[in-house]
Amino acid sequence: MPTQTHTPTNADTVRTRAADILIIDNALLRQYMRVTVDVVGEKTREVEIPEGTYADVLDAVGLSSHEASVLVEGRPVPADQPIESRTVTVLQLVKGG
Amino acid sequence: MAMECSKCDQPAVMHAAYSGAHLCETHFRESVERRIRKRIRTDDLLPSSATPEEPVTWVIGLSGGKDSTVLTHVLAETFEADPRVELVALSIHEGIAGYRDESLEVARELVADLDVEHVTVEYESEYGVRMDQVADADPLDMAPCAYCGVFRRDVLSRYADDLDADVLLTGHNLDDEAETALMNFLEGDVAQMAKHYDASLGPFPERREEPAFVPRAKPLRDIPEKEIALYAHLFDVPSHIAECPHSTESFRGDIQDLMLSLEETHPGTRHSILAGYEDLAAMAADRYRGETTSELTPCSTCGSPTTGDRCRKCEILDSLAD
Repeated sequence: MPTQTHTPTNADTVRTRAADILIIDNALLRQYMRVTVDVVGEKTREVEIPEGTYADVLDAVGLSSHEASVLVEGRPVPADQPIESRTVTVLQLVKGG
Repeated sequence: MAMECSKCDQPAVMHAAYSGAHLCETHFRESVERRIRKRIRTDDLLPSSATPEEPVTWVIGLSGGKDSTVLTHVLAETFEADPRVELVALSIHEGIAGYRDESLEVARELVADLDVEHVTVEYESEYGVRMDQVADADPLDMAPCAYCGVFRRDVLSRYADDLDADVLLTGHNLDDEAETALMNFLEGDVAQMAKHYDASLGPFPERREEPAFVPRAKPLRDIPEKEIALYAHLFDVPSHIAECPHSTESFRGDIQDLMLSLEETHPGTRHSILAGYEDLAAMAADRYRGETTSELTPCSTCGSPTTGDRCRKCEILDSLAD
């Protein structure tokens, strides 16, 4: 899978957070990314998370790696793998008690 | 670049935090199946006395949920060519509208492709009641699961006996067993630990045999629940994953949350809980076996083994008739 280039910081983000520019390091801003998450059986949503692993994607939609898997192009990926894809599917595999 | 399998150069599909391994589909499958076979050997489920002339009969509780379908699938693939083993899948229809019809359809779909005999039992035929009705009536002020568990154990025991089962296999996984272990420990129920060991936890040669009941074993008990679900997904094992609408047990839910939270920050916690608990339960069993235990006598109504005049099931059925 080819490595995706990092998207430059959105200008709107910079504008709406102008007051924070003085104290927020640019490097920190660049570490946030937007991921489109299609939770099977639920609405697709966009989550903004620090650059991290697929476990962070699960956490962002309220699930844990003990009950769900992230699928990239239909294939499960390890939860501790760094995020490479901006569009993922989340499949809840375990439900209920 | 996708994360590679720890054993080869294929992309990994999962991470086992408790061992640190990343596995591709192929090696993940091998890992699950190997652990099941190992547990079967460890528990001595296939004794040397089993022969093609006198095979052992394993009755598998098949609910249609992922654990029981994966168990049935793996056992059928592993043992269907082995003349020393006869497999029978036993399904129970409790009479829960919608939920159980769907899960049993899954069970039938599974066995259609396997060389496994399939028996289905209905509470309605056996007892003249459906769980929806029992839960509504709640004659003895118990949780729905408590009633259902009494009927289920009765059905499993009687049919295992009728089918001449040597062992009754259930699909309890690592999470289920670790939760039960924590519940028994936190409730301080040492006698229950001893019962748990002799009923289903200890390897066969180390248990005290209770002639009145068919012994139980849990070949999936070394495998985390998520891995069983992932196995079903990857290898197209039919499974029904809805939750029973009558399920309400809050203590087990709290225990589950606690356990998974610990597992998240201390991978391997579930394995440690269960390993330590098994040792404790073995000691408890040794201790309790030396004490006088209640005599089992036939129930005055149905003849099932019970410690009182009438068994729990007949008490429930009688209270429903009022």
